[in-house]
Parts: sequence; structure tokens; C-alpha cells
Amino acid sequence: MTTPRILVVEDEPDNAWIFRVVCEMAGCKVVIAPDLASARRVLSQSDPVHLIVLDLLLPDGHGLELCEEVKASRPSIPVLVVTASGDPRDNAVAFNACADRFMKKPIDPDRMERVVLELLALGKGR
Amino acid sequence: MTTNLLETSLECLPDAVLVCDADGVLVAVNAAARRLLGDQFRPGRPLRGPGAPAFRARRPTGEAVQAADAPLARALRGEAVTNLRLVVETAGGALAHVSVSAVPLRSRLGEPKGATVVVREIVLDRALQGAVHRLRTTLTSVRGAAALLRRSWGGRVPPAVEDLLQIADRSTETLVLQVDSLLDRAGRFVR
Repeated sequence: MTTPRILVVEDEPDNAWIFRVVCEMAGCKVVIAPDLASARRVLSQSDPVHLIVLDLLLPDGHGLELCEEVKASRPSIPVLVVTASGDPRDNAVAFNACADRFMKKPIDPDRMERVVLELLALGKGR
Repeated sequence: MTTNLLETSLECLPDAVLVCDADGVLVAVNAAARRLLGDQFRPGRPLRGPGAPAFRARRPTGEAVQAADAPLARALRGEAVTNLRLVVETAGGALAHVSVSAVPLRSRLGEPKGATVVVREIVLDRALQGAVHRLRTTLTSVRGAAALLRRSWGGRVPPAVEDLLQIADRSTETLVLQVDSLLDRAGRFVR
């Protein structure tokens, strides 16, 4: 059975490290992308991505740009939006852009692990 | 004269006000409501059932608000709604963060006569939003590091270490509540 591969798009190094450990505890391989350009490069590679953990405010743009691209071109990949934004409109926009789940920072690592496992199961069914 | 005074006052209010009768048909819509929600919300238009204007709202957490849970529907069922935070689609298609209150209207004999809804747009200060973003990002690292450290001990955390981790947990929770409270208070008073 293939080990799931998760793309974590997060520019804050400490947060990225926490997300990496949570995803590895869930039994997954992790690739970190600190910006949208890096994330697009990872997605263009032949290795499959089974889940994207996506921050919204990134150095080279808004995470929802990538969310919309993924939903248009590879709708089977679940997207978990994780953001520290204080503007509730970002949450609504995330749902409108078809993010599968939304978590507000600071996340609870145990809950995030459960959500990651749920979304991987969701992706398998697509 | 009294009606004119009331109508003029309603038109001057900075908050959007919509009044409907017991059947959910709009009987008054002020200028702020027309600006915020568009001309589809006009007197004579039913707010539920066939012919009702589209009203898309989400909770601050992002979940869609079902029609039966909308403030107006709740007020028509006799429930008062106070300062409910929602994100609504405006007339121009943009999203607005709003605080909504709704009250049932009754006759002197207590019979249902309709409902009034007041919608106040909330515009948060950008510097405050930036500070909230930085605080939540930092707290993610603190909370995450404490939780992962606890797990790394595999359920056998030495008491002295557990005491320190609980201090980190409590301090994180206090700051999370402070940040949420700050946002809540700012949203209540800032337009």
C-alpha cells in the first residue's frame, strides 16, 4: 500500500515543522512548500499528492489561488485550509473555493491529525 | 406626520434595517439595506418561499447558514437574535462581515405581526488583523510544540515536565481567548 504524500504549503517555518510532525504521526510522507510557486512545482511532479494543507496568507499570493487551481485541475485531492487570519470573510471565501475543511490557528495537533486522516479517506473515495 | 418621521429616521440610519410582516413579506427596507443587500430586497418581496431573493450567508467559521436558521426566520418563529456574526454576500458580490440582530414583532395582544432585522457591517482595522495573524501563528507553534512534546513521552510524562506543559497549555488558552475577545470587541464597535 502506498504511503500517502501530503503537501504542506506554509511560509512560517515553526508552523510548517509542527504540521510536518502531525502529518508524519498520521503515517504520511510530507513535502513542505513555503510559497505558491514551490507548491505548484511539487504538484507538477509525477509523484502523487494525496492531500494539501494550505495556509492562506503566503509571500507570493493568496492560498485560495492554489485551492481554486487544484479544484479545477485535480478535484480528487482534498484541501485543508489552515489560517491565522482574523477576518471571517477568509473562512467564507475558503468554503466558496471548495476547500474541504477549514481550521483556525492555533490548531490542536490531535484534532488536526484526525482531520488529516478523515480527508485522506475522503480523497480515496473520489 | 408620525409615519413620515419614522420613515425619515429609518432612511437616515447607518445600519441596514428590514421589516417584514408575519408572512415574511418585506414592508420596509431602508437605504443602508438597499446599499448593502441590493434592490432585490424591496417592499412587497417575500423573504421565504418562491420569489424570495437569494441570501447567501456563512458563519464566521465558514459553514453555510441554512434558510431555517437565518435570523429573520428565527425572529418569525418568535426568537430574538442578538449580534449574530455572519459573512454575507453583498449587492456587488463582495463579502461583508456583519453583526445581525432580529426581533419578533407582536400586537398588543401578543399575536405575531412580523419581524425586524438590523444588519451592521463590521470593518476591522488592518493593523489589528495583522496583530491577530501574528499572535495566532505564534500560538500555533507554542501549542503544537507542547502537544507534540507530550506525545513524544508516549504517555509516561514525568510529573515535573507535565506541570511545565500544563503551564504552556494554560498560557496558550488564555492568549487564544484574549485574541478572540479582542476581535469580538473590535467588531462590536468598529465600523
